Amino acid sequence: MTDHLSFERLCDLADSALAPAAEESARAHLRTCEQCASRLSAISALAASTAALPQEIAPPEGLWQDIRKDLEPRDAIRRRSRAWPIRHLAAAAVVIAAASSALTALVLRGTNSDATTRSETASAPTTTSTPVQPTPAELPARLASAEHGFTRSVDALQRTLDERRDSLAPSTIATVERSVRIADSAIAEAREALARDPANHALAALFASNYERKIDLLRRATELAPRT
Amino acid sequence: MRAVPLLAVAVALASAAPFASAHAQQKVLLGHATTSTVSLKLFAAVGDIRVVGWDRDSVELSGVVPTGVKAQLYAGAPDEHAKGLKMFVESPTEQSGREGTLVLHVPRAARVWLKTGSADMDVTGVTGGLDLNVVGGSITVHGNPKEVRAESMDGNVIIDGSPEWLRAKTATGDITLHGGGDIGASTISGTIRTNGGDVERAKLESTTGTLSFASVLTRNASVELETHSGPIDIQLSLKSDADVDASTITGAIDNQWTRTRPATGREGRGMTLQTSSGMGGAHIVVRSFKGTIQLRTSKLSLKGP
Amino acid sequence: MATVLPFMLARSSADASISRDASSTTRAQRGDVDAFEELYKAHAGRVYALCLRLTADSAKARELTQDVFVRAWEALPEFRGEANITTWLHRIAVNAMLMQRRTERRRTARVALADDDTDDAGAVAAGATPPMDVATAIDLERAVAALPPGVRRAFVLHDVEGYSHEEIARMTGLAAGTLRAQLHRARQLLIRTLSL
Repeated sequence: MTDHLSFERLCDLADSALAPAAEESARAHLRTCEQCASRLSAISALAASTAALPQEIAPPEGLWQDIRKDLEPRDAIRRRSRAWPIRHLAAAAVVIAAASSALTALVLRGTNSDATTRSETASAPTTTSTPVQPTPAELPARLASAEHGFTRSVDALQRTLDERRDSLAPSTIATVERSVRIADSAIAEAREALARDPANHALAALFASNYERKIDLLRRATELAPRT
Repeated sequence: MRAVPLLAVAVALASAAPFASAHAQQKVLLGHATTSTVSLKLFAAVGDIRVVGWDRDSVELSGVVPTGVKAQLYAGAPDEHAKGLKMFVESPTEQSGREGTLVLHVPRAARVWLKTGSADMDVTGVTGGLDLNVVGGSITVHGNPKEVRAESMDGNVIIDGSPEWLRAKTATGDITLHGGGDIGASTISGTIRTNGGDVERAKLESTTGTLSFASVLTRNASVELETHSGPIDIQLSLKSDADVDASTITGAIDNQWTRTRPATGREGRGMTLQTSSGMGGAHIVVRSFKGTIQLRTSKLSLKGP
Repeated sequence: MATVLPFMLARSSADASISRDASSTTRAQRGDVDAFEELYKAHAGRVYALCLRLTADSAKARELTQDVFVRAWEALPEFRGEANITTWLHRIAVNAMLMQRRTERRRTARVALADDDTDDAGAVAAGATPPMDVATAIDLERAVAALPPGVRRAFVLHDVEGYSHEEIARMTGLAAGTLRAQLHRARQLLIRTLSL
């Protein structure tokens, strides 16, 4: 048998990521090629073993005690945040990045995708503490909630940028503001469409991308601020 | 490679030397012996910067800058070949920060981190890594560095080689690329263009900027193009073994690459197109809110394995 | 290499109380450390598992888990529950790990490169890790820990944690195509190592 299916193609087949015509062609090949069928079965066996991995691994003894020592009282954190905006920003960057990608996942969850991702299917039976898949009726509220998260990230970065405005060249401020207006206009347009068609996966992805580009722009602007 | 004794100078000597001039300028000459893979950071507030890779195990920063500009170099012991060093060129005023020209020579395999305000950067002959950040100037990279990260707010970014790994970002500036192993490019309103070269993996995204893809796909290449409202123009060879999955929310799709006609999208709005040529293999995903997607035939051919 | 074997726990039961989490979260947001300890007890196993699989090093995983919970404590007042707390902690862990890797790279004067992983990939392919018995969780944990860092990250986030290519691309800044290639490489190496 010549022209075997590539490993990548077999993986895509196992992941249900091939277009219907390509999948049909691959399956036709598998019916006549033992070698490829065997490789596909190895990929499936690996997936089964992976799905059976434990979700939890007990952390080392004494870890909580070490964490406990590092926890500052709430009001001390608030004071430090005010006194050290740059340090706060660095810490916040992790959280904003975390929030941003989590929010994108939230936006995309529950929408329809042609190539259903593993996060929406294969992991579901083995997940114990993640929420159940949302019903379509929940989507508008979920999207609003996700957008609220995005806007809070934007607000946090915008505040930092405003504080450093004086250290930026006027032309830089003009560029950033112009770009933010463009991003806002795109977000508004995508939001309106998404409100009409909240289950549209491609639209949800575009909506989230618009926010992510805006957040990335603001983040870069805040990083430029001290020296320009 | 050989070290250049002349440049293995002590840090104390590496300061800006006054240079009498009618235009109140001074010369800068800083240098240090380094390893061939030295990691170098340069903060420079000057007009233009040229970075040149050379076949010497040393770093040299030279040029002419306005009087009052301070240049400093920090490294380890002066008699050792530095593995890492930092250089600062600081201007007393915003105006002086826009004047002057510097040339930075580095070993070819060096890793260079360069941050400036409004300088135009031009890099030649570096095969190591580049991390370039400018607010208002342009960035041009010639040759084939292993990896490049280039960010400018409103300047243009031009990478005319084919790095193995490339990330380019602008707000309003244009990005022009010539292929590469793993490409990521993002802009708000600039144009992103891949012009020739081979592409293995790429993600190009814009808010309103044009996306233009005209490179050769390697086998099993993976390309994603995404925009809100910018036009997307894709040129593919008829010989390409590629699958294309394109969709818009309200925009049009014009397919001149294959005979497949785009279908109407969800709820009668927008368009979708799933088409392929040859045996498939390379994968192109195109998403647009309202920008027009155009697929055209190019004379570029698919690259073999 | 990671010492994962003694610490395995059974999969947590499906009735982990979301309302208990919500109550603990609210109290922890107000500064109640005991409530935060409840959150720690409920989630440390999953966070540590993620950190251990991502780093393949028990000392680094311990440090990373500590970092995640300290960052979470500091950021908790900002948490409004758009995502559930598990998802939120996972994202902090992944981002903290990515930032740590970037810092390490800077420290060692190496610039980030997805293809850096190809060198040590050969070691695994050549049999640096002895073949295991077929497909037990223990063998698989060992084999995953022996993967080169980039491909291990792709495998853990996609196949173990269930993130989509798109989500991982956003978290890591890598192109989805790169991630696909890393994931395929991880699967190839694991199949070879486990003799599947």
